[in-house]
Order: sequence, then C-alpha cells, then structure tokens
Amino acid sequence: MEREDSAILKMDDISLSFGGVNALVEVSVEIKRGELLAIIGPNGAGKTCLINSITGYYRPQRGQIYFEGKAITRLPTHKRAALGIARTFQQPALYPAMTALDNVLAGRHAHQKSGVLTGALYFGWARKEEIEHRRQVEEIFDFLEMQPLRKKPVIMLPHGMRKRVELGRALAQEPKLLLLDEPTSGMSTEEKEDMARFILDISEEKKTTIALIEHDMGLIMDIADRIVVFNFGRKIAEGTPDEIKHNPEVITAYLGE
Amino acid sequence: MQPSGYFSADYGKDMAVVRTRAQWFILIAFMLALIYFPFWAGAGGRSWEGVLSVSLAIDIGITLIAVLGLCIVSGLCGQINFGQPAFMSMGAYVSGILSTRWDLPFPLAIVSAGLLAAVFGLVFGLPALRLKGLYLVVATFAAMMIVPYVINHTKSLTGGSDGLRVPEASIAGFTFDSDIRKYFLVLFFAVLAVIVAKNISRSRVGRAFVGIRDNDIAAAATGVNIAHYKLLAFFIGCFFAGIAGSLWAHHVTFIHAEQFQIWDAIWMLGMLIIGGWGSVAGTVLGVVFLKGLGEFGTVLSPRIAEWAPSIPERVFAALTSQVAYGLAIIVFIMLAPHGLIYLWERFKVYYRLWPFSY
Ligand SMILES: Nc1ncnc2c1ncn2[C@@H]1O[C@H](COP(=O)(O)OP(=O)(O)OP(=O)(O)O)[C@@H](O)[C@H]1O
Ligand SMILES: [Mg+2]
Repeated sequence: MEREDSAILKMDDISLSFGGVNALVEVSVEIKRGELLAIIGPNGAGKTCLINSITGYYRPQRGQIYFEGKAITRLPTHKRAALGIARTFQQPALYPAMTALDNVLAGRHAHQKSGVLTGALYFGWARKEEIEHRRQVEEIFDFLEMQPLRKKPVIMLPHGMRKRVELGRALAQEPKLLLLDEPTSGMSTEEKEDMARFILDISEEKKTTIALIEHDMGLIMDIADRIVVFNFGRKIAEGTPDEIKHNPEVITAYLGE
Repeated sequence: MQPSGYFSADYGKDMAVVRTRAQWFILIAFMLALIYFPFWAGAGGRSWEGVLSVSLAIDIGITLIAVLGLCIVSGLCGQINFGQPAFMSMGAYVSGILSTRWDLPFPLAIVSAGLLAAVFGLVFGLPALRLKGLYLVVATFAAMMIVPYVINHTKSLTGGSDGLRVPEASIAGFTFDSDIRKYFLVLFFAVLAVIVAKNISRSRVGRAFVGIRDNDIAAAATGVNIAHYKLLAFFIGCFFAGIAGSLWAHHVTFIHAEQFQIWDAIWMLGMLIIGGWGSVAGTVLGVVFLKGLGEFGTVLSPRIAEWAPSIPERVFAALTSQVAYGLAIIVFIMLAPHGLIYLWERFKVYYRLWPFSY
C-alpha cells in the first residue's frame, strides 16, 4: 500500500505481442510521483509500445496497469486522458489545418464543458468559457516561448516548432503524468537545449511527473532522475544515471555483443 | 492574417468572427442586400437575364442548409456521408406526413423533421465507428438506396410512388404561399444554419471534430471520445438535412421518393470541395457557385445558341447538364484543391500587403 503512494503509475507484468513479435515481455515498471524518468533502449526495444500501453492505444495481452492506485487496464484512451495522462508522439501528431493556438486549445477538451447547444449559441456561456481557456493557453504559449506562432497553421511550422506545439497541447491537458516520446528527435542542438530546458521547467515548476523516451544519452544523464533500459521488449536495467552508466548489461546492449 | 494596425484589446475581441468596423459594415450591407433582393428580382422582368431569380435563391438557401450539415459531418469531422439527400428526403417526408396526416403546425413539423432525420442519421453513422474512407462511403450510400425503397413501400403513410402533397408552411395563420414569403422563411433558416455551423466549428465540439478528422489517435489521447463525437457529427449533420428537407417539402408542395438522387449526394460533396473542405464560409461560396453555375448553363446556353448557331446542340445539352457540375468539380480538385475560401484568403493577404507583396 505504501508503495502505491509513491508510484503514480504501476505496470505489473505487462506482455504485448503482435503476431510473432514480442514487443513487451513481462515488463513491470513504476513511475514515481514527481520524478523525471527516462526510458531508453535501442531501436525496436519496445519503448513506444510501453507508452502506447499506458495511454490505452495498445492493449497488452497480459498484465495490469494502475494509475494512482486504480486499475486502468480496461479503460479507453480518452478516459485515461481525462484522469490526467497526456502524451506527445514520436512523429508530431498535430491537427495540421488548425492554428497552433487551436491545437493547444484542443488540449483543453477534457477541461471544457460546452457542448453542442451552448457551442451553437456561442454568445454567453461558451464564449465566456472560450475566453477563460484561451487565457490559460496563452500562458502556455508564453511558457514555451512560442507567442509568434499563435495564429499560424501548424502545417506551416518547421519540425522543431511542431514538437513544441505538441508539448503545448499536452501541457494544456494539465496532466499528472506526462509521457514524451523522443521530444528532441530531429532537432538542431539549439532546439534540443530549449526543449531540455522546458522539460526541466515542467518537472520543477509544475511538479509534473514525466516519463520520456530519448536517444540522446548526454541529455538523459543531465536531466533524468532515474532511467529504465529496454532491449528486445524486456526491461534489462533500472537505476540512477550513474548506476546505468556503469551497468555492464546496458553497455553490451548499446555496444552490441 | 489580420489587417495591419489592428490589434485585439482582449481575447474575446480577438476570437470574434466580425472584428473591425469595416467588417460590420460589409456584413450589414450584405444582409440588407439579401433582404432587398427578392423585391428587386421578384417581378421577374427586372432580374438580370432571368438568372437571378427568387426561386433560385430559395433553392440555394435550402441546399445550403443541407450542405452545411454535410460540412459538419464530412468537412469538419471527416466522416464522408454519401447519404445527405436521403436524410433530406427523410426530413421532407416526416414534415409532409406530420402536417398532412396529423395536422401538426409547421414549427413543430420542421423540428420533428430535423430530429427524426438526425436519429436516422445516427443509425447510418454507426458504421463510422468501425469503417473509414471508402468503406464508409458505401455504408452511407446505403441510405440512398433504402430511403426511396421504404418510401415506395409504405404507401398508406407516404403515398408511395404517387408522391405526397404537402401544404405550404404557415406560422400562426400567416401562410408562406408566395416566392417572396418563402424566400424570407428560407433566409431565416439559412442564416440561422450558418451561425450555428460557424459557432460549432469554432468552439470545443468543432475542435474535437477536426481533431478526429486530422488525427484520431491524438484526439483520443487528448480526451476526445471518438465514438461519441462521430455519432454526434452525424446527428447534427442529419439534423440540418432534415430541416432542409422540411423546407423543401413546404416549398415545392409535392414530394416523391425520386426527387432526391444519387447525383445530389455527389454535387453536395462537390460543393464542399469547391468551397473549401471544412470551412463554413467556404461552404456558402461552394453552394452559391455550383448552383449558380447550373443556372447560368440553363439560362444562357439557349442565348449562346442564338448567337453562335454553328456550335452543335450537344455542347449546350452538356453545359446545362451534370457534365458542367462534374467538370467544375474536377477543375477545382486539380487547380484549387483548397477551394474558393482559400483563394479568397490568399487574395486578402495579397491585397493587404500590396504593393509590397511578392
Ligand atoms: N502496430 C504494430 N504492429 C506490429 N508490430 C509492431 C507494432 N508496433 C510496434 N511493433 C513492433 O514492436 C517492436 C517495438 O516497437 P516500438 O515502436 O515500441 O520500438 P521503440 O523502442 O519505440 O523503437 P524506436 O526507438 O525505433 O522508436 C518493434 O519490433 C516493432 O516493429
Ligand atoms: Mg519509438
């Protein structure tokens, strides 16, 4: 019981396979409240599958997932989102025709209430709500330093900025658990530094629990509190950056046999 | 892009559709023109080459309501609905039957038509929970087959293949029995439909729809209940169709199952494409453009034939027929796939930056 207090998310003996491919094999992972956890491993190790299982996009054949002590294994994705799980995608999954502002506003969905009738009337209730949430979204734009992008359709934005808008949308969900799938992939060094700073700020200022998949070891060693390592669908190591750096199994997995 | 020198004082103003004084002026002038139009065109003699007639305007208004519904379900939510005319005929019959057989007053009949068409739309929306793209086209296409069949085989209720006479709409003793009166009735509902569609598209529900259209995985991850919103889109879209069908029934006063053709389903989607997929203003442009094109063909081709008798009659037959519509849609898909509204936005940006545009 006391363990469940420190863990915001607990995966218990998860196995996920696609036909003959074992994407996750008997994986148990805990994400502790408030920590910044890095998930690493070679390509195809099952990292993205882990996030997809947490959000409910994939359904593991075996095992249980608990969020804040409650089993969520059978909940559909949108209900898990409403509980406070937000994510970004390896390839930014934005709504290209919408402006950056509307993309981030879309992240407020579960916090807004207006429905078809109030929306159709707009004036009065829905307008008031829109203004209120717009204010919160503007704060996110300030926080992520992307004010000039607000009115631009995201299709016109470069890759790095799309990733930032996507982070903004996840932040707009006010998540308790933020899952980031390779937030710096395809970025320039400068963009990476910015992104690392934002992630640290989210962790420290907003006290949001973060789990991130990342290939840049330097960055991970700098910012992660704890690291779990995957290889061929199995968790092969877990520990502080220092412990992981010197773990022989991790070294073999990365350097090859 | 905003006009230069214009800065919003607060978020409410920034989010408003009509923002500047000039925009208000244009809007009011446009509404006045719409109100004045039937008196100008109404006598018939004064209408320009007979093209801008009141009955065309009524036709455009009714079609616009149905296509705005399609804009919500297909344009915004991305669920291709090939059965919109069937849902429209559903509305026409509900309204017709309720007002002839049960003597229901028009306001109740039209609301019932909308609601029943919407519920019916839900049933055909169910496949959308499992199917995408072409498969969904086929599933909704079934509505185009089933509805006429049911109408023709429930003669005691619908009049079957004999059709059904429908009284003109009347509210509190005032009967909409002339073209000018019908025009204002349709104008009222069309303006309402535009406002409702625009408001839905710019608020929470609209963003959920577009989210599903553009990336349903991401939408689910941000808390959107995909199944719920897909069905909701069908419900709203078919509600619009039902309203349009009811207005149609009380306008033509005689309905039968064959009035709503497969072609209409194609042209309605074509209007969305020409106007600009998912844009309410674009939908208005698309409907006016395609309906206007058809009318031009019908009215002008005999005249062109007079001027240039050497052109074979076949050419005009093609011009006035579905071929012209089809060609217009193909031309737009090839040359301006984002539709008229996109061209208009481009023009505005160009104009504002002039002479420094490149
Ligand atoms: N939908 C799917 N269908 C079939 N196989 C899949 C599917 N999704 C993932 N896999 C397989 O599962 C394994 C793990 O994939 P996953 O995407 O989790 O890897 P990853 O650790 O995120 O790798 P990368 O660093 O390249 O993103 C891979 O072998 C992959 O091919
Ligand atoms: Mg991956």
